[in-house]
Amino acid sequence: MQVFLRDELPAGRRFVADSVETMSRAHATWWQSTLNRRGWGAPHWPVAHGGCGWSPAQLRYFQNACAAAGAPLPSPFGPSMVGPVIYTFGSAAQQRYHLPRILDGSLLWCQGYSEPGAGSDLASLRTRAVRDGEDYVVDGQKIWTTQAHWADWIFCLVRTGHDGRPQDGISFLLIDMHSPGIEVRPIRSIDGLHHFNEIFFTAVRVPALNLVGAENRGWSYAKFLLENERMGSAAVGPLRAMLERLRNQALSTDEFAEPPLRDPHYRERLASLEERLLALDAMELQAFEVSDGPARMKFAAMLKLAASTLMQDVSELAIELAGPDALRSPGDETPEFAAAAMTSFLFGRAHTIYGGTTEVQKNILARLLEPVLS
Amino acid sequence: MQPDELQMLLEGARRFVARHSGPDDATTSAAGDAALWAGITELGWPMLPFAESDGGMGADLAAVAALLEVLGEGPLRAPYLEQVVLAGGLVAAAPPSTLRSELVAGVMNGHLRLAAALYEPRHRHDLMRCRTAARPCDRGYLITGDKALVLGGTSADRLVVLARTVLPGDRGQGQHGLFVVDTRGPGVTTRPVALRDGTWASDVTLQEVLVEPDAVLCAPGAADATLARALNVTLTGASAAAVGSMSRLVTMSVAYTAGRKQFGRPIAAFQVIQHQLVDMQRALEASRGLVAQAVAAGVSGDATRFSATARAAKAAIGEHALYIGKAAIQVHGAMGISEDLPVGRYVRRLVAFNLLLGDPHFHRTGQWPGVVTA
Repeated sequence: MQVFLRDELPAGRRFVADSVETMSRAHATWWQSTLNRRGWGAPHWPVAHGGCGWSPAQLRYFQNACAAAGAPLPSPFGPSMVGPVIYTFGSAAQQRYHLPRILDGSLLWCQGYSEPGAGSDLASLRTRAVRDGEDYVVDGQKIWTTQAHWADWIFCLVRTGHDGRPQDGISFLLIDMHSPGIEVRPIRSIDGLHHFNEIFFTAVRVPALNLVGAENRGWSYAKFLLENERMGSAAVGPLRAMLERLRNQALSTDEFAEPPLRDPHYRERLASLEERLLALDAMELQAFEVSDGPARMKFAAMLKLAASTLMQDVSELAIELAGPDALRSPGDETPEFAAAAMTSFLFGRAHTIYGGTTEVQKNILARLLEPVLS
Repeated sequence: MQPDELQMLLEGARRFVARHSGPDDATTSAAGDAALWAGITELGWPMLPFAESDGGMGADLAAVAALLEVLGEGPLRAPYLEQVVLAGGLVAAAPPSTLRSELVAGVMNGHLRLAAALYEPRHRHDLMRCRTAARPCDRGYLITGDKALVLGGTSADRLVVLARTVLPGDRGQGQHGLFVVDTRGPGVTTRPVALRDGTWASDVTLQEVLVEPDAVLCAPGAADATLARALNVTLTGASAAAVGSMSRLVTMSVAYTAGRKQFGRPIAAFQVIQHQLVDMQRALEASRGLVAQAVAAGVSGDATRFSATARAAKAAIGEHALYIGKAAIQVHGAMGISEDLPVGRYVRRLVAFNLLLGDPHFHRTGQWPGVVTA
């Protein structure tokens, strides 16, 4: 593993492990296909579907090694999110077509969950899919769609039923982003960059064969995916790499006349963040041991809470250490770590919003307490 | 200045600020900046802080803070704080001289744009350990060194430069003086720096720049009181502007959460959001109170008390500003990350406020002109 990483990531090609903010389609495709050539396109998938059948602990070891070696973050939407949904709930034809293309990075994905009126209250989504012969006809709007401007496919939650609870009328549909009637509009974000998009669907015809599982059962697949997403949110490897970089930079006499880490105040702040990382690391290991539903739900929410706030606090310390230089817009004259720190600080506000806000995670945890409290 | 005069000035300011604040305001071009400054001069703002004996309006610090709060509400990105309050303040607080009278007149009538070159590369918040050297020569001084992030520097005609005398056999003790140089003069190189909050600064290299005796604003050894007065006024003004920006974020957050519906009701109906809004209001009111304390200390005539209070206010308000900025984004959800709302613009402004002119940790522990530390 170390040999592979050293060969594929020579000094000149190393990435800043945490900078999902500055990822490009070319980076994502290159790294995914590189991993796949070695058989590690999605090592946590079952062997039958092209994975290595690795346990979560093995996967975690691998991801940490990748982050330490300066590998780019792979796009999560295919290998981590929709892939497991397809091999667990999808048809044989969907598996045959999509899984190899996720593994080799030839088709990239994005996630069509949020809508302007459906954020934390995701089940109130209104994008509708109406059956018409062999197709569904999709009309509506998705928003905050990360990487939709590169993606080839989108996995989408759509409304197919109107009876019962709102959750009961939702289906999980795979849609080719090149279909007629799809319009992608960029949303500029707080760091000045383009990550998010709005997607407008106008009478988009989607073959009914692209429905995953059963009609109106999409909510359970979506929950399966969200829980996987939260379980995988700890990002211990990238966080460790960030903290190590921060420690080195804050001791650098090239960057600072008086390196800030000579000041006990900053040593204490950094140490406290490192303690939180140790705890997160341990919590992630514990999470691998649980298998029953409520305990998994609890760990998923706690990991998401701990990791998202830790990432934010690391970038907040990073801009403080950089000092006024953190305010320089990215460019040739700007120290790279200062620009990266501010981009992470600004865009990193999203960590406590996407994938279920901090408030939503706490509500989940509070509900799990109810049997004890009542 | 009479109370009704101040009220008129503030009402005019509110109208002007509303007209000239926006994502792509005039400060992005030199012509736009000049036109904006002409408008500001017409409103009399450059005359506001100068004494009546200097031909100014003789407004007290409370009036200056009130105007800056209005500018912060915009936020108006014209370099009023940087050029009039800070650089102009250095001139106003300097000992009487022909130079002083000429500069005061030029700043007040808007024809002379001044900026203060205080900070240096790699020195973060520490301006007293200045390396820029003023070597005595037979025609005055030769100034050599690098200055970083000269706020408002791109539109300045002249710079007030903080430098330290270097005498033969000097072991680095030296004495601070303030020297006035022309931004287009021989030996002066300036490079524009776009800051993340949309304002402009410049990096300046001074290579044996001749400063004749009639361009010495404060002789070496006589600059401390001048620096202290102008900087403490600037900290107070910057804090007031931050309060203006914070109050806008609080108002926007209350309005947004009252209007945004999830789970069939406004999200402001959830207690967790209400508590967040209450904490934001609490931080805002604490900040307002601290500005009032700094203003009172500034008019008291007690320089030691003024330094202590203005620095305490800057430090605490910096933290409150960061808190309100982060909380405002969180209650706006993904909308707070997008540039479709002005939330991000205020947040970047507040992040800049916190990191410029000394951050909270620096003001609690670092060296400051005019303050004798044990």
